[in-house]
Order: sequence, then C-alpha cells, then structure tokens
Amino acid sequence: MNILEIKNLTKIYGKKNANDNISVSLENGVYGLLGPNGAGKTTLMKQITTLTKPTKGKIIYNGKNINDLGNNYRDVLGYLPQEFGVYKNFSAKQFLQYVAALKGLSGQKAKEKIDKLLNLVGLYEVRNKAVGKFSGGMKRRVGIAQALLNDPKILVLDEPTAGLDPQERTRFRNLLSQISKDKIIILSTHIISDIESIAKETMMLKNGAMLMKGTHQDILSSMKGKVYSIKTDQENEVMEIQNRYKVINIQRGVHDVTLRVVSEKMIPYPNSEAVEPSFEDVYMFYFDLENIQEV
Amino acid sequence: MIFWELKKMLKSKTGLIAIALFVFLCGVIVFVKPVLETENFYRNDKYELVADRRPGEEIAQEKFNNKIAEIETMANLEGNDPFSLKIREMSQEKLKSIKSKAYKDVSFFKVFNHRAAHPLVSFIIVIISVLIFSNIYTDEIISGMDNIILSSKNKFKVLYSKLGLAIILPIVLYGSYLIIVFLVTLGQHGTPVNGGFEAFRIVDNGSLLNGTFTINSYLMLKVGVMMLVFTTIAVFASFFSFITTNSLASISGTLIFIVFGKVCTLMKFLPESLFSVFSKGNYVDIMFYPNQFVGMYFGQVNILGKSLDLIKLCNSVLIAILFVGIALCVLTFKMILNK
Repeated sequence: MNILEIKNLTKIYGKKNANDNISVSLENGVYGLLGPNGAGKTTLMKQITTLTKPTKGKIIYNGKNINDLGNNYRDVLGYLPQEFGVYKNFSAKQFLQYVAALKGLSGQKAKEKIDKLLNLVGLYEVRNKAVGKFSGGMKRRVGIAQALLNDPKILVLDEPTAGLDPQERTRFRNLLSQISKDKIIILSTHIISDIESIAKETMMLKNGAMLMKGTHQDILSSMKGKVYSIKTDQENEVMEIQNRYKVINIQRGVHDVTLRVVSEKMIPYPNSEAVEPSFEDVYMFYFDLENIQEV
Repeated sequence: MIFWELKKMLKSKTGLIAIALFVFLCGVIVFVKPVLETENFYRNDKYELVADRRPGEEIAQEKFNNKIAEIETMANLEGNDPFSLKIREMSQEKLKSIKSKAYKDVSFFKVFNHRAAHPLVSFIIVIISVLIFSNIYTDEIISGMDNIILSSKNKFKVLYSKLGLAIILPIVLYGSYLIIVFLVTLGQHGTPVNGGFEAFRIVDNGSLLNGTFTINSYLMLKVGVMMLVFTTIAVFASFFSFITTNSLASISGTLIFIVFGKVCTLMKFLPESLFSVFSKGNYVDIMFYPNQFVGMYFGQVNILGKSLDLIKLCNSVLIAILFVGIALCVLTFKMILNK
C-alpha cells in the first residue's frame, strides 16, 4: 500500500498563495483533481513531483518526507505535464528510450517495457516514425507511455486526455482503472466525465485551497436539492432565469425550452422541479461557467 | 546521458546548422594562407602589388636577419623603467636561445599557426557554441521536456551532462578542426619540421614574445588559450540557457558576456590596471587578434601594491572566469532549477 500525505502545504508566489494550507491523505486509487484555471492544481502537482518546493508544509510518502527521499522518491514517480512536448526528430521508440535513461532503466528491461507500452498505447506500428509527424492525440499517448515507463507508484497526470478522441479516451480510462490497483494516480482535468468515470475520490481546489474532498456519492449528495429543471415557452422568462441563476444547460425543444439550473434556494417557477445532480452541476455550483471546456 | 545530449543536439536543426558551419569552415580554411617567410609582397608607388622574385631562401634569410636585428635593438634598449628593463632582459634571453642564425624551413608551422587561430575560425566556432549552448536548456523548456527531466531520477545527470558537454564539445570541435588543418597543411606545405626552433621565426611581432618559446610550445599555448576562450563562452552560453526561458534572452545574455570586456575599454574612467586588463584580455580582441595576446609581453599592472605581468594576469582572469561560469551553472542546478 502506498500512502501519500500532504500536510499543511502552502506555496506562495510573491503575494499570491498558489496553494493555501492543503492537507490530504491519498492511498492507492485514482484521485480526480478538479478546479478552475488558477485554482492551484498545477502548483500542487509540481510540488508532488518535486518540481518546486513548498513554502510551508510537507509531503510524506510512506512515512518519509519526499525531500529527504530525493531520487528514491523520483524513482517511483511518473508525471505527464500539461504542456508536454517531444523531441520532434526522435522516433517514438527513441523518445521512450531517452526517458527510460532519465528514469535510470537498464537496457533490456527498458527495451521490453518500451515495446509493451508502445503496444498498450497503440503506437507500436509507428514506433520508428518521427514524433514530430504525430497527431496531437498520438503525442499525448507517447506522453502517457513515458509516464508509465518506470512502473510508477505515484502517477501524476495533468490533462492527460486533452486532444484524445473519444475512443482513445475510453481506452485511456480503462488503462488507468487497470493499473490503479497498486498506484496512487492523481488526475487533473477539465473533462469532468473522465473524473466521474474513473476517480475513486475527487479533490476540488478553489483559490489555492482545498474546497472539498470525497467520493462521488459524498460530493453529489451535498448537491441534493440544489439542481432544478425549468420548462418554459416564454423567451423573456429564459432571459430572466439566465440573469438570476447559474444556468448549466439550455435545451430547446419544438415548443418549449428546458433549463438546468443550480441554486441554493428553491426556484419560484411553476414548471420547475428538483433533479438528480451530476458532476457538471457540482462544478458549476462552485466554479464559473467559462472554465468548463468539455463535458 | 552525455550520449543522449549529443544525440539530441545532432538531431536538432541547430546541430545540423553547426555541422554545416563546421564543414564550411574546414572548406574555406584550405584557401587561407599567410605570407610565408620565403615570400615577400609589397606595393609600389602606383599601389600595384609586386612580388619579390628572389629565391625563397634568400627572402627568408633576410626576414630572419631583420627579426634578429630587431631583437638586438630591443636588447640594447636604453632606459631604466620596468618596461624597458623587462624588454631588454627578454630580448637578451631570446638572443642567447637562438640555436642557429640560418633560416630553417618553418612553412608548415607558419601556415598552421595562422590557420589555428584565424579570426574566421574563432568567429565560426563561437557562433556554433552560442547556437548550441544558448539553446541547450531553453530548448527543453520550449519543447516542454523540462518538467519531465526535473521530475526524473537522473535529473542531475542530465544537467551535469549538459554542462560537461559545454566544456568538452568546444575542445572536441576545435581539436577536430586542428586535426583537419594539420592534415590539410601537411598536404600543402609538407611535414612539420623544425618545431624545436624559436617561436619568433613564425610570429611577426616576435620581439614582444615573453620568454624563449619554441614553435611547438608557442603553438600549444595558443591552442590552449583558444580552447579556454571557446570553452568559457560555451559554459556561459549554457549558464544563460539555464537561467532564461527563451533562446532570444539566452543568446542576448551570451553576446553581452562576450562583448562586455570590449565595451569596458570605452570606459576611460576605469582604474588604469582594470582598464589594461579589459584592453588586452577581452574576448573580442583575443578572438580577432590572438597574435597580440598569446605569449606576449605588454608591461606590468599594479594591483594591491603588487606588480603583475599584464598578459599573465589576463590569462589567470580568463581561467578564473571559466571556473566562475562552471560554479554558476552548478549553483543554478541546485538553487534555481531545484527550488
């Protein structure tokens, strides 16, 4: 069992608290990291991956501070950054060989692992092709493969499914579910459905602080009675609802319009009813609409 | 990891440009040749170039006699100031060390010396170094690989490999150039003979040479100084690459570093000793006029009450700058890239 404890983690850049006193304990499984842009997700992941040191607080892996563990910690770490590029003139195989060298993998072991991962991400047939000629989704798959090279115990994935088509995303989710048995996987994404389908628990960050952490049931139950569906055939009413409430969805039918609304208070419209909340509603309730990219 | 750094370099556009520049340099240098000791050209009153038609041996002997006469003049220099005393002493030593007053064939060394530190060579090797090393880490940032490197187990191996390459590659590059020049000169001017004779036989301002260098030892010193300059520039280019986030900033930093000493020579208000160090020991002048620096004597400077040989002091400063560059890179790895 792997245990990663984040204790009172604070990161200050100038006058801004990018992370503000975050404390959380993670065990094997997939953890979704949700929050709008600037919420402090990337800063948190950078600290977990030792790219930056906390201003205050500490991160403990299996009872030891990760700063003291140094290379022993990095040896069990896999990371796919949000802005992941590749060496355009390297083939997929050469690129993974390079990352294997970075991770201190030996020749034969590295070769076997690279072939296995290239198969896993569906790039074996094009392994000798220059990565620069790959599509965005293929490059992302190379990124996923490199993160898994050292069979990490802690896998940090920042927007891993960005640019992947639905089929690739499904395959990637299944892969994560398969390997999560003996790993801590931290998955940051704006694609709520990814988190909804595979995360054991979700951590929500806002303004650098931990807003909420819990299972889907915990989070969704906190939203019960706050999501409404309103039916109307009056255009001026649609405008009015949009002005007064957080509208998540507007579905135009043949004769009427159905609006999905989140609100702490009961909605005073005749054709409104409380509905089962979804993760998208949770996100909308706590964060702003413009930060949802895809659902 | 050095192998991988080299591979990345060779597969990048910068690497290909560097190779093309190096091939161009080796191709062009075949045609670069100084006026040999056995040749003499001058312009007449109509400004026409006239070649001396006398036998080569005769011309060479005359030139050699002139050089000895110049040294003899220096050996009898009047005046008791430190500069005159030193010049007199050096010249007397040189006269004593002359093995033969007859001209010896030093054509190979004359050409090799000229080609070894030709301004074009320095210019192209510095361009190659700046192109490669100013981008050595910024390329990782631009490609988004920096986060993967810095979160990996062997991150320090990668960083030190980059620094190691900045030290080794200019030496290998310049060494390869010298080997090619050696072979080309061998083909054009025959075998290198008489390298044990006095260095002033191949140097135009030989009377100012500080000591009794043989041709071989003078060439070794020159190669050493040039390697020191190229390595230092490469190390600082890497340093600027480590502390900046884009190529433009990194290249600008490196260029400022290269021209800093030369620009300081315009600041007449500087203390005399410091001004002298900048005048002789700046990278621009060493690259473009190496014969005015390597092994020469240009007087003494007073620093903290001690009288020091200016050129030797400049050499010490150049060595110190290299170590400062290495130390800055190491500090950057530990303090900035691992903050």
